[in-house]
Amino acid sequence: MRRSLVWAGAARPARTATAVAVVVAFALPAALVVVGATRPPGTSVLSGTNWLRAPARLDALRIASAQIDLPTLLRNSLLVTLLAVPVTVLLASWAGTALALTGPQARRTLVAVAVLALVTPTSVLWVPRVVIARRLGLADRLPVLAAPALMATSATFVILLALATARLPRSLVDAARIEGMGPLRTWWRVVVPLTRGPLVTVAVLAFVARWADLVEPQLLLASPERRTLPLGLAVLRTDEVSQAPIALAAAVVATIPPVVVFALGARWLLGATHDRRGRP
Amino acid sequence: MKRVLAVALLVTLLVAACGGPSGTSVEAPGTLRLQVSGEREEAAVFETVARAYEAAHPGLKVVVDVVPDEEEHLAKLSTGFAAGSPADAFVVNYRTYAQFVQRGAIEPAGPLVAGAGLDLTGHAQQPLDAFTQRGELQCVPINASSMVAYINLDLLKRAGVPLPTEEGWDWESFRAAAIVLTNGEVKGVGIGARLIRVAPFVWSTGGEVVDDPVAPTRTTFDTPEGRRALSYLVGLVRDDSVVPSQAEVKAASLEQRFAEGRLAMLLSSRRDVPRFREVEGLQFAVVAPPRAPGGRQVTALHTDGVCVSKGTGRERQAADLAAFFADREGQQLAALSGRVVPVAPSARAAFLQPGAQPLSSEVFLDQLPTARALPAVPGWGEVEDVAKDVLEKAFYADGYTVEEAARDLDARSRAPLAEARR
Repeated sequence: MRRSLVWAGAARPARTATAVAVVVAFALPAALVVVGATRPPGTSVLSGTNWLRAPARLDALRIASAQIDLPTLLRNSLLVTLLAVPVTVLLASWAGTALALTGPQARRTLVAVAVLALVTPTSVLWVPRVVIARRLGLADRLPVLAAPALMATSATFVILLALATARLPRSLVDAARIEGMGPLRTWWRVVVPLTRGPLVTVAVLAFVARWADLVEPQLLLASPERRTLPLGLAVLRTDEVSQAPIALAAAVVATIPPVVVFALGARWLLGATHDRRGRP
Repeated sequence: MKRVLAVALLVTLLVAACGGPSGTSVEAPGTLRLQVSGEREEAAVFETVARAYEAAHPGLKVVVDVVPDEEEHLAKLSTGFAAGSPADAFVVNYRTYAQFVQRGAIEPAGPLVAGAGLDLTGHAQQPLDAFTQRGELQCVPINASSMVAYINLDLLKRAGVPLPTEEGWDWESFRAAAIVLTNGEVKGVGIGARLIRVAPFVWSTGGEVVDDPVAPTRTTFDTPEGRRALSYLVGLVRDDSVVPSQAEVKAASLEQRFAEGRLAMLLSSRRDVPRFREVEGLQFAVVAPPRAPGGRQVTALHTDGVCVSKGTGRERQAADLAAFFADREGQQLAALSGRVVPVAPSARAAFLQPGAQPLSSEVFLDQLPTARALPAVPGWGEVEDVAKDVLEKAFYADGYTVEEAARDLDARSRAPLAEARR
């Protein structure tokens, strides 16, 4: 007993030190991005301490905004994600509920389909997506970027919500049926309230997936006024000469919405992985 | 109920799809889509010329679809062709257009632009040759850059190194200058480990970089001329230490080092001029690249062309746009940007811009007759990838000899070229 207490005492500082090291390892690059974004354009991180000592300014952000029209890019990206995320959550939850509550034979088939969808390389879908978009007259239109939401964006989300629904006591679903509730009402009254954490998790992940997507906007959009943020950042990425502060300033702006979404969903995200007493 | 909701959702999406931000869709009649690749300065040139074309053709709109990364640009083109919806016209480098000729995706531009009234008399011949295949001009060249040596004039003056005479530097005088210019953090010369940078050194010795310029099956670095050129360049990197190390290049590109005054000379094309002009206090000149002792003056051609996609039903309009880019007004506008070396003689004065840097900008025009093209064949992009890998190793890896590099390069270049021929 005494021996184990000694070990616990010795382990705590080590654990704390490890935790601090991990936090620093992750936070330092983020801090450098923010500091870099406030340096005067034309300066370089390689110039050392002078670079750090330069007063914080928003010149880089102003230049970035002028070079890639940040407000328009932000608006376009927000439009796409605001359209895609609710549809993704709704359809992933429906599909997940169906997957969890259906019979074993059908479930095996549906899981096989979901796994097949997961392992299919995205590049295989590029040409069909371009063809469909063109045939529907949606080429070079922003909402086409939200179209994957009609397939719940990713089979991962469906499987995640199916697992969450499968953990619910079956008696609750049976009771709803006895009460005369149909599938839709059962989903709304029973499944949704009890799977809020996983639903928010899917919403956050779907937001980040759409927000950061570069390939589909690249393939499906042409007009400059319809570009999304990742396309704009790609333009800045090709600048080589001491333009890092400009690219970093744009990157900081692009990071704010996902951080806000994550912060808003944090309570639910933690709720999905911890019980009410905060235990994992 | 679920079905009703799903249908309602789909209808909502489709209705939303018909809205979106204002602007003309590329599907609208009277709209041409021009897909280009390049950094911001280059994209700005395309935008400027496209707006001038619109002004000259009321009722027409040109959507300039900029894909910054070249590989993504080619992937988008391939996807567009596979999906039956390519851009009406696109701009590519001569080293990558052959794949589109091979798959029959390009409408030969020569007859079309002639029909649009473009007279190519007096246009630079090297770019025209580079874009000619199967006896026809496939794409219309719109610029004609080449490799030069950029020189930081302040660093040159401080080190007491004179600019080369009209005859230019030979390898030894270039090396001697690079050694004197190397001082502490400042390195003498920046040379990218790329085939297009190394090729002029091979050509200068009288050698060739491939066994057949029209239908190459392999590179030919494992020859006395190839090994001589490689030995000279590797010597600059390893023995003389006048070239930034691999770690230094990874930390800051050669262009960045030149702009910051940490590199005295840089072998590159016209592409860097707009950026270097923006750097406060940077005084720079360009001179012809060095020639082998007793060898000939030669450089590498850099040129892009506008290609017309086949099967869009708008080939004539696209060719008219291509002709505008290569004709007097388009060329003058492009030349004024400083980014583009024009192919049309009528834009010479606009290009030279007295007072604008670099000093001796006419080098780009004067050395064009000495510019040689790399092969324009399918699979060449992969050969350049292989070459980059081998040349980086030759420049920077300890114990990897020039002989090994030459042998590896020739051996590894066979597969992509054979694959592309199938």
